[in-house]
Amino acid sequence: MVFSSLIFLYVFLPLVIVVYFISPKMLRNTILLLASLFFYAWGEPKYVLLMMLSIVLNYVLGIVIENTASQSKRKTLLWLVIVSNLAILGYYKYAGFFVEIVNNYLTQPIEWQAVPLPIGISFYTFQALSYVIDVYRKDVKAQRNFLDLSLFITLFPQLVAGPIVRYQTVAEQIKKRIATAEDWMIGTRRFVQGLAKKVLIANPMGEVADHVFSLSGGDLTTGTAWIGILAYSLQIYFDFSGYSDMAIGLARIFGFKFEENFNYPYIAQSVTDFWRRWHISLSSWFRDYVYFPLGGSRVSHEWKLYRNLLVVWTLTGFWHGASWTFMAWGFYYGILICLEKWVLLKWLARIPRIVRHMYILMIVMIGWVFFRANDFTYAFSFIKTMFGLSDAALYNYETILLTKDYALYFVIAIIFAMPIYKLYQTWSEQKAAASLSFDWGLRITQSIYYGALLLFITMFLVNATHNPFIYFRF
Amino acid sequence: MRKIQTYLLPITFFCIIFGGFVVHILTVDRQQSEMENRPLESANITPSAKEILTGTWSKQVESYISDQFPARDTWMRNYVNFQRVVGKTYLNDKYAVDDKTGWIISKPAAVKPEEELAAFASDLQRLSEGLAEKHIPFTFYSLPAKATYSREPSPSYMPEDAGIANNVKLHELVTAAGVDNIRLYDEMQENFSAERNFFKTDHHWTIRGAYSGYEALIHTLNKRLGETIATIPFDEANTFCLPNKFAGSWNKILYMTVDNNEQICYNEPASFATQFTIYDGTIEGGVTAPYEAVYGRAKQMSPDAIVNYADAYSRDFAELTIVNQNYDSDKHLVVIKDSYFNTIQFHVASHFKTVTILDLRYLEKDIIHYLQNIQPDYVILAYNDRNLKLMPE
Repeated sequence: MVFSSLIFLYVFLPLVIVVYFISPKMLRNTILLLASLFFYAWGEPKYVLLMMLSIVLNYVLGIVIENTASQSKRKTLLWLVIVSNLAILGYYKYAGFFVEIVNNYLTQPIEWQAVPLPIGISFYTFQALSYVIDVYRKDVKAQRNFLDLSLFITLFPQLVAGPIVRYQTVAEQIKKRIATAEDWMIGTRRFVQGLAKKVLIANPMGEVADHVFSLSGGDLTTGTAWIGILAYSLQIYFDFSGYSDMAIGLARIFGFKFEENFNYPYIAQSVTDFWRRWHISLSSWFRDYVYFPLGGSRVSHEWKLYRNLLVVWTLTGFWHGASWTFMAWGFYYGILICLEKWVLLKWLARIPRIVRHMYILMIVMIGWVFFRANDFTYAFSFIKTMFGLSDAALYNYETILLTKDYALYFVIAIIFAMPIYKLYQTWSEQKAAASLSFDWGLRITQSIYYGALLLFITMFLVNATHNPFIYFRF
Repeated sequence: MRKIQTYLLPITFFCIIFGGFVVHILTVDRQQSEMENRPLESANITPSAKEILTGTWSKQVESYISDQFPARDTWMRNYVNFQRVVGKTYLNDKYAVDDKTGWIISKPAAVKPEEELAAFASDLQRLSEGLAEKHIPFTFYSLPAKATYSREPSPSYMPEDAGIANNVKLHELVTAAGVDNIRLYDEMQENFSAERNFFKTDHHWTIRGAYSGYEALIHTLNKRLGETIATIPFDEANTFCLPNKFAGSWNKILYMTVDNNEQICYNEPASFATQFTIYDGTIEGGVTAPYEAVYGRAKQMSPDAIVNYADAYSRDFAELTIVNQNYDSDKHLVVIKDSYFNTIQFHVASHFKTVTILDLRYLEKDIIHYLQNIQPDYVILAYNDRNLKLMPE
């Protein structure tokens, strides 16, 4: 089920809210768990069993690891759980890719029937792994209550597209949480903001990007290519950060407080800074569970630091999907971060802020070409057209039509990609805290604004033809 | 500290989503969307285990919620209005509207791949050769479509519509395939006027455009049949228009947001009401239908009713057999047609002893074998020139 759908907004969510809040507190986790399983089973019922298998595996091995005194046995068990989790993920996500590679070297190719990717498998697998690794590291106690661990992994706000929530973050909240009126207000506001990002900005930008990336080489002009990649850059940001906002907002309505997943990445001034602001939960997962165990930056030789960075970023790319373009995309960032660590950051510090912004935007947009393209040939051809290195014309009617029809969306998207609204929100909340009359005015205005925004979004949803979340396929 | 005003936003939010749910439950489901011209999803309250496990049922429910969402047409209409306010060139990615004149213009068509046109030409060749086995002559007619000939006002930066180029290329391929063919536009060029021949808000031709088409069709058929049929002259004084508001097909896609003063008009001799015996199907089937029930049903509708093209002229029958008591030619003509022909089917039928009208979208028969069996004197296939497949869209 998709948050930005009529069935979620006008059937599932109101029913879950009613049932949850009229139920006694002791039943609320069970209700949330059942709702989450229903939410997941809605589109792909059979994959609930796969998720349950993953939960049982991690539940049992988490307890076993905790109860095992011998360090070597604990380590063996940890590897068992890591391999088991990755085997499930690998079968569904990566097997076809590897079979294809192996088949290139075989005279008798291996027959492989492609399997559909269970939705959210990359997210819940990483979430489950973090739990068991934390148990192994003795950072958390193993969860003895199966329902509570199941709720941690399946909680519907973050189940299918993150953020990747750490067990440490919510362990206490699963046991005991209070959803106050302020939580409801903040959660509602955040949810509607995320919904607006997705429906009012990401979807129209997606229309542009899909159209441009479907153009054949002859129809693609330099101007159209730039419009297309700008649209995709905005689409992926508003799509994913919108989903994260909705997840964080929904969780808050039920009393959970999740960590932030985005922090205005397009205002970054370096690649390093960008990745501190983009998909924070994934970057920090790789930092804590791959980069640090590899030695991180505390290494005997400098080359090991660069090796570690390249490994982590290539894996980050590969996490997104089983293709060479995703790996190249990750490796591309690995190289850039290595360069920044080596010398670039010092240079960047000396140049004007605006140039640093231009630098990062250019880097990111080129990166998105690899992310969006199906293969390298298309990606390189697209980049050549962007920079006028192909025979493509400067512009054509598509360029004019897209500019004219979507200029308003681009302007709105660019404004909201900057923390202007956040500054206003911080200012208004501070003022409301100091003045009761301002507080009343603000709450009334907010209610009207967000209510109207919700109705406006509904108008788009009734007409929706383009609604999938990009990160659902990861 | 809990403050009462903090509840305002969550309560507003909850009232909207829960209110939407309650209204949805209380609203009576609709069977059909008049605007979208399609049946709406109904509730499947007894899904099978297989439907649930395969996810088919969840998709049905999502379609049901979307199709039966309270005030769906109003939301859709507002969305079109929103697109107009923000200056979208092609509303719903299909049509540009000239608010001054009320003309709706389609997005330019791209050049069709030659394989696609060749496939249609090949189908026509197969049909022609199948009929030739039984010595039944065949001609393919393309009728000028509004989308092809009504292009103004289009944005200056947009490319030319490829409709004419596609049509010309198709006829070249059909000629090369040895199939007799007529571009009816070539026969209608004199005084051809898009403003006169086509509706502003619908994709069909007006009675005036259709009449020009009818005259050109009979003129070309005369040559092929060796007849000297005189067409019924268009008599302005004989034109009768309905007071009803017209629901043009393109305007319906735009949720009737384009104001227009278009009218449904007729130009037919009074004798049409009595001179035909009309069979809904074959003569052997014996199911007859009165003329008023087939042609111009809108004449019986309330003046307040909004009328579409099908109500105005004729809906699409799979097979209609028209037997004429007052004919010029005793021949049996078969017309394989799309909705463009509906306007003039009785005008054409008024000259022949028998006319069989077939619509392949609904006819469940092997067309070549069927025509070989009924042995008509002549077969024509008359599609508007945007239809580039034997099975029209």
